[in-house]
Amino acid sequence: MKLYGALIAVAAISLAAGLAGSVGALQPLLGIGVPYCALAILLVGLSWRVIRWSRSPVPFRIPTVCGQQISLPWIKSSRLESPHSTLGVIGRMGLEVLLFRSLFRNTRSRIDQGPRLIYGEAKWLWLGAMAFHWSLLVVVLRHLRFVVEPVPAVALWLDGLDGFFHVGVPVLYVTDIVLIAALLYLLVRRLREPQVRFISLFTDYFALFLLLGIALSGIWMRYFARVDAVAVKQLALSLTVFSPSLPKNLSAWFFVHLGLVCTLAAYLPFSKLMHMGGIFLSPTRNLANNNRMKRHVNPWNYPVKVHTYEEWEDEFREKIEAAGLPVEKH
Amino acid sequence: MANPKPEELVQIQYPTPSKGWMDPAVEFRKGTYCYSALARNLNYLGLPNAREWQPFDADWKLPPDWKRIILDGMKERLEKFRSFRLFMDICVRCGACADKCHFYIGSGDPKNMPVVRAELVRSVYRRYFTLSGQLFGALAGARDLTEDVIKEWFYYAHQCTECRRCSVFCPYGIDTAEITMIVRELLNLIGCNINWVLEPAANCFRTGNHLGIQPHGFKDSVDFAVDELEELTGIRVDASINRKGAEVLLVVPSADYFGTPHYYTFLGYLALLHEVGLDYTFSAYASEGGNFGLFNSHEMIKRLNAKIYTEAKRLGVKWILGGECGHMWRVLHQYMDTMNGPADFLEVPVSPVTGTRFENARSTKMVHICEFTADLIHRGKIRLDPARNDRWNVTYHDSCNPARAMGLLEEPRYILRSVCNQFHEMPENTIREQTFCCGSGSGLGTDENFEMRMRGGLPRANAVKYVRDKHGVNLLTCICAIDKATLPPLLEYWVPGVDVAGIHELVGNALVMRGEKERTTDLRGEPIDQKEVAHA
Amino acid sequence: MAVLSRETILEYWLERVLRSYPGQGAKFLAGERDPFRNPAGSTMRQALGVLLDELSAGMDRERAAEALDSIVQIRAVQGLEPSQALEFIFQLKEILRPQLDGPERELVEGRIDELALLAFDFYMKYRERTYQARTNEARRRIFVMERRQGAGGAQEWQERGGI
Repeated sequence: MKLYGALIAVAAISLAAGLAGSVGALQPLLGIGVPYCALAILLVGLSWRVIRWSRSPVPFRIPTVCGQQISLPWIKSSRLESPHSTLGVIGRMGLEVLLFRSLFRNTRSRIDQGPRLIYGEAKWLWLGAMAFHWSLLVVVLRHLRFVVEPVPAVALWLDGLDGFFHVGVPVLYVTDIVLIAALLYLLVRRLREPQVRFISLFTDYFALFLLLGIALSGIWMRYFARVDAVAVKQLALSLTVFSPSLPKNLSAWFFVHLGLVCTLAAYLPFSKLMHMGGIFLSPTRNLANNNRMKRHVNPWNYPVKVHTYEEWEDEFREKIEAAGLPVEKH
Repeated sequence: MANPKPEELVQIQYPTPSKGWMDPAVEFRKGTYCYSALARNLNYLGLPNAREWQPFDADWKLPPDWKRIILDGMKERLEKFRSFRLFMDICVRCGACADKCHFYIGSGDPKNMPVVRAELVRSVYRRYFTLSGQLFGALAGARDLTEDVIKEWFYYAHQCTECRRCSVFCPYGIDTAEITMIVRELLNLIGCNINWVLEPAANCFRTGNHLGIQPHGFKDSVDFAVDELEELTGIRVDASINRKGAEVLLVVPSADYFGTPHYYTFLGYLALLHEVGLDYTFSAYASEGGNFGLFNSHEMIKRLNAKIYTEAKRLGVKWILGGECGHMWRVLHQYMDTMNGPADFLEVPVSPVTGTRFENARSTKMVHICEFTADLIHRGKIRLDPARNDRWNVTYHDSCNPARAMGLLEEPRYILRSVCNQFHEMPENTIREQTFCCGSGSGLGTDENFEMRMRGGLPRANAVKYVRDKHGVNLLTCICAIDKATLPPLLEYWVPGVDVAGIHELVGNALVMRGEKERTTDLRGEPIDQKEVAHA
Repeated sequence: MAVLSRETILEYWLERVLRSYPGQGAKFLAGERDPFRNPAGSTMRQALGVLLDELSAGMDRERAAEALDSIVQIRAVQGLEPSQALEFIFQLKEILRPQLDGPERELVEGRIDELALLAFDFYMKYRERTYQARTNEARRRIFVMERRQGAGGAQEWQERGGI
């Protein structure tokens, strides 16, 4: 139900966008109105989410420490797994954000006869996640050539690198293949592993299908439908300078792609896909393990009812004195 | 039952849960829950909704406006804890945490996957605090807050030992312990708490320690240990209590002077601190380092922890030394300074024996005894005869909090290698930051919860079994009072033949004291030369 | 076992065993075949497989006992009534009855009975172990007090079976 529901939802969005895109009168709405709306929702939504997160304070310094602390000078501390300085924290976050350090730790466990636990390495999830996120980044950067003129060097360079194999016309991008493969892996994993399937929600499948839809429609446009790239660029450039003009010869396939991208942009702030922003704020990762070195201040620290020494001595005075222990008051 | 026909056998229908994990129904089976907190303990601590009830009752006697209380409580905490708000929002359900939880591995109950345990709360968060959850309901993973959900929260929040192992593996560092702590706080607001947490907390509030030992009883325990140590070593040590003007306040978990095998560790401290001539005192008012408030609410942590700084100030010590304890050190390392500091009336800890300045504790002014001892050994300030521990073939269990909250990994290992001759590590994925919990932490070490603890402790027990069979290990060392209380029954069930001890017990055994009589027995009173082999 | 394959019988048996699991555990434990991902379920699967093999073939008692022991050790701390915990052995009879006839059935059912008796021993062994462990745990908690009051030293306690 969750799975098919999500599939149907994404298919319906694609169909609606494609149909509307083939009706001339609806093209301005789809090519100009929807992208602006989606972008506005994305920007406002993103800021709203990030502001809401940052408005909740971090009352305690609670890093999850994954290495040796800094203590005695002759014990080597782990600067990245248990950072005690800002530099170390930046390093740890860098590893986390760029290389998915924690996911790399992944292990599998099973129990054998005995019962006895056995652990195996499980790097597939890490590999799939790396492949997906990095190729997505490259794909997004490659798209810069549509919205910036002159095309930035980084986009050209990535373009060349990505099409390194010079297979086919137009040149086949490696990241297209990797992106699709990684998404399929993540989907299959979600379906085939009982644990992951058990925890999966409609939204998990929806996000996957949405991304798959975007990738597939993009590939279809480039390699098979051969959409007029010049026209696309015209539209994109006109949008960026806020004087939108709609070229005539845009195909319905382009509108499918654009519709899905706009859906993703508008959906993103309300979804788990916000994890890309959240990771930077995660208090178990972005704080230094220097708790006893540097005092952390809790902005809402408030006085609490305690059992004072005086109250304690009053209650037990006779016993304390009988035991020969010193008291404040006799 | 009629015999199934062969063709029927092929079509196997498993009972399918209609709503997946969203169905909140739980069954409180004997051996899988902890008894509710007694009304007198709630009253003593001034906590709401004190009443007679048990988890297996149909009616939990919740206050009439319980739903409002919970939702208001959630709102307040979403605004006070970035961790909570963030962890409600950013999980992608990748499942990396799923098989990292000892309760899940040991029981197979899918709601014990950390992600699902958190989803139990997230679903309510989505329903009442997010637009998509309000609009799309179950489709967006939202569900209503019902009394059954409260029971489910209670059940699963007390099947998490707040060990933080899952957060090591989470790509966003989502910490189930943080979520469990908040859920327990929320449950606390409507009086759904367990006695094994609140009785120690109430005791600690009143007498200064979890066991409720009054000042004279504490004195007797310490004196008894001094007498016994004299019998064992021929040396009478001075262990003062509430003495003003001492240089150092020593705070240990109360089990150290009351339970076993903790007690032998306590003897170890006494011997060591005497040998190096540390000028220290105990406090009867702050006679507990452990903090069961951690298993109840942030406020309770602060209420119980306040005694340590108060007492350090009253006694006029320069700094504080802390004994072997797990959750105690989570609080001391990550909460104490923030909650009850700044400790500007103390000095940066300096070991008077070696002159080492503990820069890593310069703000909190509290040093872990393993740091203190490792420094002593490294500077060659004590004489050790590791052969006295030859009857032990040792492995080391990283207690969760010293490992994952502090990063205290090498100090205990350095000490162990200096005080015993046979040491073997357990498999890599079960030690250091990946260490497995004893299965009884965070107030779950109750007798009525025994079977659940055996399940939860299975992963740890298996790693021990591995080194027992492979290397003949017969002693599991650790630096946590709960470990020392609950690992012995765990091993007794799964891995007979392996004993449990604290690090400083072995230090006390190996320590060659000036003027000691010839040691024929170790601190347990057992002959030193006898070498035992693990019996499988 | 002419009609059904070993795998089918094992599957059916496993499903019957897992039915006693609380909540939604049953479907979950049974659904996953990869032993890496399903620790509790896979122990059952593996051990039941060994038992089935031994029952239908040579009946290596040592091997069967070892497999049985590992199942019972887990089930003895699963919050089950004794009858529920050991029910799984008898459930195999129902499953195998239509598969076998004559002397073969008698032989296998005899072996199952033999295993059942052995399972009682294991179950009691592990239950007794929990009681012992619980008692010892309770005494450890008040160790110092007991010792102070002279209620038997460590030596005596050890002689009585404590740690």
